[in-house]
Formats: sequence, C-alpha cells, structure tokens
Amino acid sequence: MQQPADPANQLEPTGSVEGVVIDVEGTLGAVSSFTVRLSDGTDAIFVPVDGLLFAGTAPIDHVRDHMVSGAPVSVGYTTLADGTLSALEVGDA
Amino acid sequence: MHRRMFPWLAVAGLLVSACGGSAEPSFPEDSFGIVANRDVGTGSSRVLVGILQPDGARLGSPDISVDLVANPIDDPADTQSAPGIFTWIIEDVVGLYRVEFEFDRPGTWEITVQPENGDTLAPAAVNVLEETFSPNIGDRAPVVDTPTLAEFPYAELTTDPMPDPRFYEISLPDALASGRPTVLVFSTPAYCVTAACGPLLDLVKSMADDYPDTNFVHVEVYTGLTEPDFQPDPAHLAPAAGLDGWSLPSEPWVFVINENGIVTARFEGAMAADELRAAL
Repeated sequence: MQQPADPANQLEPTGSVEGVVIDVEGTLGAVSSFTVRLSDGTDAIFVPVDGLLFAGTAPIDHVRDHMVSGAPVSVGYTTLADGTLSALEVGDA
Repeated sequence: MHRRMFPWLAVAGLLVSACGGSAEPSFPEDSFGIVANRDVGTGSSRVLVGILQPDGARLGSPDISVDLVANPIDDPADTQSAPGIFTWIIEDVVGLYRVEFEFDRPGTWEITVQPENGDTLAPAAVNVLEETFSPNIGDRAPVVDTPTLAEFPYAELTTDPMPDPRFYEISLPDALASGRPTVLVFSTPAYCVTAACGPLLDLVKSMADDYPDTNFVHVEVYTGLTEPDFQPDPAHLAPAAGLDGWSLPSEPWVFVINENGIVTARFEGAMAADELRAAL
C-alpha cells in the first residue's frame, strides 16, 4: 500500500500564521483547501501538501472540527511559484 | 504572502445597520459569523452559524438572541429570516446558532447574523448545492454493509474508548430491513477529539436507552484501525462513509432513517438532544 507522503521530508515552511478556520473545501479524507482568517481580518487560503496530517496524527479533515469549534490553528506554509500557499504543517495554535 | 479577501467582506460596511438603541451590543465590533456545515442543499436545509472573533474567541449563548438572514448573493433583496436557535456543542463552553432555511435555488448564499442588540455582522457565505453529497431528507438510505461485534472486536470497530455494544450489534442492512427506525452515526472519536466530534457520539449514546425500539448503529469513519501502518487517511476510509456508501463530505454525521428506509433527518457536525428527539 502506498504510504502518505511525509511533507516534512520534502519542503520546509517559510512562514507560519495563526488564525481561525472559516472554510474547508474538499471531501472526507481529501481536503483540497482551507481558509484561515488571520488576526488582522484578512483571509489566507492554504492547499495542504499530499499526506498532511493535523498535528502529525489526525486526519487533515480535523480542520473542519476547528471550523465548528472556533479553536485557532497554526499553519506552517511555503509559497509556491504560482502564489499558492502550500500548507506543510497544521496544528492547534 | 498571498491573501484573498472574500468579496462579501468588501461590502460588509454597506450591510451594517444600527438596531441596538442604547443597549450594550451583543457582540464586539470585530466579530463575524461563519457557516459551520457544508452539505447544504436546495429545499429545506439546516444551517449552523458560529460567531467568533479573529483570535478564536467563540461568542454566542442562549442568552443572546439573533436572527439569521439568508439571501442569494446575486439577489440581496430576496431575503428570508428566522431566529437562530442556540445549540451548545460543549455545555457552557462553545456553541452555534442553528436555523432551517428554504433554499429555492442552488449557488452562493449569504447568511447574515442580526443580533438583538448592536450592529449586523458581516455576512458569511454558503454554497447551496443542487444535490447534496450525502443522502438528503427524503432519499432512500444507501444499503451498505457495516461491521458488527459478531465479526470483529471493538478495536477494529471503533475508536470510542467506552463503546456501547448496542451500537455494534446490528449491521446497517439488517437495521434497514428490520422495520424499525434507525439512528446512524458516522464519527471517529479518537481522530476527532475536540469540540464537535467527541461529544456527538456520546450524546447519541446517552439518549439510546430512551428509544428501545430504535436501531442505533455507529460507523467508524476509518477502517483498518489495528493495522500497524494505520493512518487516518483516504486509503483507510470506511466503505460505508465513502463514495460507494454515504458519500460523506465531512464528519461527524447523524442520520435518522424511518422504518421504510427513508432518511428523515440529517445532522452534520453538531446536534442538540432536542433535535434528535424531534426526529424520533
């Protein structure tokens, strides 16, 4: 069986933010993007890298739970050439 | 850093109305609403709205009355309004306002929170679907096999640390063929341990004894739980939860199915006890 990619072995975060999840796109087990509202009121859309787990243990879908609960998240990311924010780490803030 | 402002934020100021008189505002100025469920379809559909501040502080309580207003984003005059019913996710800690809207067309709708006192909050957006991902009210329940205690130990059936055997004694096909109503819970307690997911299964378990003539079935969202290389990833999605089953776009879920196999209630993300009682 193919193992999920380990994002930590591929890219290193170049930035990190904290905020609240206000939108999650995708299907169960396959989040295509999620939106975090930052403390200054702006929104950042992140595309999770393949195989990304929440806090390294939970499915990335867990960001939906944070959207429901309002509990802030932290996101480590890198900006790809096309401007996409690629989420490499996500966990509780 | 690339950041995108939602278009509705730009027009938020135009939608602000003064309605509070001299009373203390219900919510701080920087609060905003979000729609916390996603599988919203045309027709009568339940919407959950959370109110929070940018630092994550969650607002709202049974003591703060709000009206929720919905309109298609391209037709601001076509509004419908209803009181939001506050629903605790965790008692006295965090909750949401819920409402039933009648969505007469698919597309992007704005949901606006009008507090009893103070300014209207900036609208949140929800994509109303022509066809929901998971079965909608009135749909026939998909008959998909689910594992039971007759075949598997608890460790392979559930991540609930205190499982109730009643939830694993009957498979979904047998439940649907039993001529009795069924409450079907999709959740993964161990891999969804914060506010919304953990308490939902516990809530249903706490109510099961009140309904001895109803089937209760818990389906763990993931399978292969005891495999050494198990990860809660798409490769381990339980067949009943996936596209060949109930096509869940999220979890947790509670469905109520009547004795004829028709879905009569569906709750995404959070549910109050009174909602399940009303459905049963």
